[in-house]
Amino acid sequence: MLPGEQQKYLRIGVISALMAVSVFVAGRLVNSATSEAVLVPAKAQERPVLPYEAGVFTRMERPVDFTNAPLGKNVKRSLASYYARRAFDGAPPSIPHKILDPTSWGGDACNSCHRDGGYVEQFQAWAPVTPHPEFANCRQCHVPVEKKTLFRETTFTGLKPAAIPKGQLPNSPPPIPHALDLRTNCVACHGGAAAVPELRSTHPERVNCRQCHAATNMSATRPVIAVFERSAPGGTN
Amino acid sequence: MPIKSYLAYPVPGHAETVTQALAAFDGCDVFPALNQDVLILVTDTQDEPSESWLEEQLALVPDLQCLALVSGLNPDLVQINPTLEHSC
Amino acid sequence: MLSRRELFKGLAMAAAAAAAEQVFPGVLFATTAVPPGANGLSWKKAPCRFCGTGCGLLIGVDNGRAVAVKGDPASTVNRGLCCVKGYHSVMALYGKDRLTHALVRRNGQMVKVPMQEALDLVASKLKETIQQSGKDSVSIYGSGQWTIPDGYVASKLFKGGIGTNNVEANARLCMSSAVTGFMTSFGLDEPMGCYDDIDHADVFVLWGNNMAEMHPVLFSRMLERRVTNSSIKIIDLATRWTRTSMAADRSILFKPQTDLAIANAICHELIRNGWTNSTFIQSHVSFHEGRTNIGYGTQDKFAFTDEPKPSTLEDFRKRLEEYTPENVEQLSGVPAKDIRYLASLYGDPAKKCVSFWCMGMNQHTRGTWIQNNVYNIHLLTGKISTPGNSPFSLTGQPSACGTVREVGTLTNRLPHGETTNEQDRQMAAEIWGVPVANIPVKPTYHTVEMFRALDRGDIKFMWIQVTNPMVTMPKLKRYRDGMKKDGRFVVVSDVYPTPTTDIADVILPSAFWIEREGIFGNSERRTQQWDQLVDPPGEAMSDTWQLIEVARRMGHGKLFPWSKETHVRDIFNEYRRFHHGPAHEMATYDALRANPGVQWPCPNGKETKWRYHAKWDPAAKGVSWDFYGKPDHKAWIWFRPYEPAAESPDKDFPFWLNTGRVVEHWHTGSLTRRIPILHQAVPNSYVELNPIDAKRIGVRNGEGVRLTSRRGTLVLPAMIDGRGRPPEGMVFVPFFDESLLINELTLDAFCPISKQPDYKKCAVKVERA
Repeated sequence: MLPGEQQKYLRIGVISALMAVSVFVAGRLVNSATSEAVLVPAKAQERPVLPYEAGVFTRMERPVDFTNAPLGKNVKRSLASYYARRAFDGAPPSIPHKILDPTSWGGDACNSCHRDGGYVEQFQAWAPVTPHPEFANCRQCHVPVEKKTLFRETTFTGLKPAAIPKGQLPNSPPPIPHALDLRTNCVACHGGAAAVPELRSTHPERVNCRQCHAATNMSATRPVIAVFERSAPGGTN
Repeated sequence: MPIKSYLAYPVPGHAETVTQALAAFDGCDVFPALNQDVLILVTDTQDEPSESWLEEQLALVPDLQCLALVSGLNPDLVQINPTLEHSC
Repeated sequence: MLSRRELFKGLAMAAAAAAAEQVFPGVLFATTAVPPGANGLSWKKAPCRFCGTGCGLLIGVDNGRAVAVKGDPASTVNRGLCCVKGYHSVMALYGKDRLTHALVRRNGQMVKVPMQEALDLVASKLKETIQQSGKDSVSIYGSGQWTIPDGYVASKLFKGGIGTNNVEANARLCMSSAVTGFMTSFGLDEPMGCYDDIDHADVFVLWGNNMAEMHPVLFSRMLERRVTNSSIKIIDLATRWTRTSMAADRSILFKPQTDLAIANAICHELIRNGWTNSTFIQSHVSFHEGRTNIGYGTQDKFAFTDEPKPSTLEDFRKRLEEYTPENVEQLSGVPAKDIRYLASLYGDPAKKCVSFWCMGMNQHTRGTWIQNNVYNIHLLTGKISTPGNSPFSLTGQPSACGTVREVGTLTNRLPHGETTNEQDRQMAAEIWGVPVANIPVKPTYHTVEMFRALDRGDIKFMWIQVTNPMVTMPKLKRYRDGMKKDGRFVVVSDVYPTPTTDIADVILPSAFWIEREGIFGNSERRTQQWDQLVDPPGEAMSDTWQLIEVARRMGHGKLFPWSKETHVRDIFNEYRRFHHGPAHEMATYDALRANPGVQWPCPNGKETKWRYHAKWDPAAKGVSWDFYGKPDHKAWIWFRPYEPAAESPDKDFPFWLNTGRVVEHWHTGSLTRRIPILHQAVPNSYVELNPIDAKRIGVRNGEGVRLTSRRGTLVLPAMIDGRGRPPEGMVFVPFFDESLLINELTLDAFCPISKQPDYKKCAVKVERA
């Protein structure tokens, strides 16, 4: 505890500051409320666009086996290798294994393992599940690594993955830190045997993830033209 | 010198740019409101000259329509019970 | 444990939160401070920098640097999906060897000079050359990667200011057969349909078009369409087995150049079986014939003018008599039953048909003819200009349509129409504010001839922007040697060192893509704008502004009165005037900014998805089709025969050489090879061989193979049973690799009508190296 005297002064200080501020702010609000709100021709304004929702409820055709998810030594994937395969947070990962049929364009060749997951004897590993099995031309976006060298050096630094956030209140569900494009099927990465342990949900069996987890990473900002808009109180109009 | 806190009111729609501009200053912590267009700015400077420099800079931040001072505390002039300091 | 200062900061924060609660009851604050730079991530739209599909991207920008890409779900083109190049496109900004300062050749060495000094030199050299050797001794060579303002300013300076038609672009090597195809059949350039046709069609025929790799996003849209309905058929009609063949329902391989005959055989079958749409033909089609035996343009100063003659359906039928499926089977290697199958698909009135093509039909010594022949199929059946019925020419560069074709940066074109047309010149003179006499009438050199003129010395100055001809010109050695000759002055504007900057006298560093404000136009008449999102490095400057700076130094400043801040908007507003009217009205600049892209014609703010049909196109008269591009308001069917390729395999050079791209790399690789993931996926070029041929010459995968043509020789690693498999007697080589230049071997033969070279067919010898 603070010594009584000083604690009192601190309180008085804080309270008087609060009062000063409320007078100041309230004054401003009153002022702006009395000034006339008018409709003015709008300039194009940058507005945020909400993340899109397609696929939120899509599930794998066969349910993911959550109960047999291996832990400890048996887990092949780590958060480090997960991010190392991506040029930036959200980039399509490269293909880390030999492609069984080089002429293949994707389709069943990839989806036979990556659509529903499952244990693959050949690689002695659980296959990661794609969050977008509806796209069949896999090698449109996912390419193998034939060679590790560079043609020329680069100074590119990609978007870093956001830290796994805490909830806003003790015990409240954390928001979704990453962009959702092509990754609206949450359980593909956050549940199942192949999921990276750090990314696994404690409750993958629940279906409606976004009932509790808010998407905070906006889809985009765009110039939006309204014909007229109300001048904002205290705004620059 | 002192630690000050402000409420910052960005021009509507510019919260993100204002947050960025403020967070970029040394000694400034920004806590955006999650459900309102308002930010808390906490400043912490080493000495008087850097404090007045910062004040000048804050006045120049674009799209910031109002910066309301809430509290100002100088830790060097206020004593706190050491046990509290360590229990935090 | 908190430090003392942190404790006080916590108290200060709590006080502020309490104060805020008074003003905004229920306000919630983040519990941790925003770290500088983080969370500053903003996603802004831009069209993709690579192919002509025109995918909408959202670029993640943080602290002034582009750090991430995602597909724009609001874009009707790609609906949130990109390809591997698009996803990693921003990495092309950050190669360590970016050109950031101007370089000038002095005593054989490239010396760094201030940008302003380099621009002074370019302007004085231009003026000096014009004084000494005349207006037609200077030229500009741009590309389909030019933004609309780049191309517009280049055309205005050279055609309106200097007064020469020496304006060309690499789209001549890429899309000019598509242009002449549209012009000869419909009188107006660019597709009548749009990508929405994919959502309506029942049959897709891909004419020499490896879409799985070259237009993967549209290919995926097509596959999605097939998932919804298993009766939908994708037919791959090609000269080599590819990923597209594998994904297609039917793969039909034909011998190079015989697509002309296959299309004619399909028409033959359509007429013979009565599968034509006779009411459509009667009201909306007229028949024509042109010259035959038209040559290949391999000699300098080759000239050709077609002589269209009117004809009839009956004449057309007679001309097709020799194109029976059996005869064409002999020529093309395609079984007669497969030709009949194709005819039955096109001829089924219940099936909507889309034909897609790109370089296979464009890079063709009869490029214009094969376009005409495929249009003939759609016109005989009336499967055109309605949803799902579409002959669709795809584009290879982001603004081949928007800039080269619409702005008209070709020797014979103006922003509206042809230089030879009095009215078109009048319009340009009026909008540009120059005397009409300034604008020359006669077209000068098409691309191949322009490089030949440089070699001969008729052209002495060439300014090259956003393209890499020292990798892409066919019969490369002649044109490289020509450019290196004394008395030639070459200026190159680019973002990275390339084989073209290697031979430059001045290198100007360009601002790249999202480092400047710009506008592209994609394959489906969609105009796409983007704002500047990051700063260009060093002294790099947009190609538009480089041209304006030079124009001002040459005394043409009053043609370019715009400020640096608003010039892109101002240029677009001036350019828009050329296309005023229902047939080509363009959207306003504000509408372009607010949308991922807007299709023209856009009269009264409404996009036209299908042209030439009154139901969708306000420019069309009547109640149904109106091909208003032609004076008779009809689409023209041309009889175009089969004629052989310029150079076919023989005893000494027994293989076909086919060249092209891979999905990972784009064009000459100067951008994609600097993107680590793309380079690491396909680190170098190779030669694809049929396994039987490989066995015969005794090479295994990865071993060296020597290819030799009459023009050059090259050793490449063999690729057997990779992503593509040529038939016996053909090899395929991607052209992206600047250290394995396959264009040393290719032939500079071109379509006499479009002047576009054929990169898909020449003869080579194949040996174990």
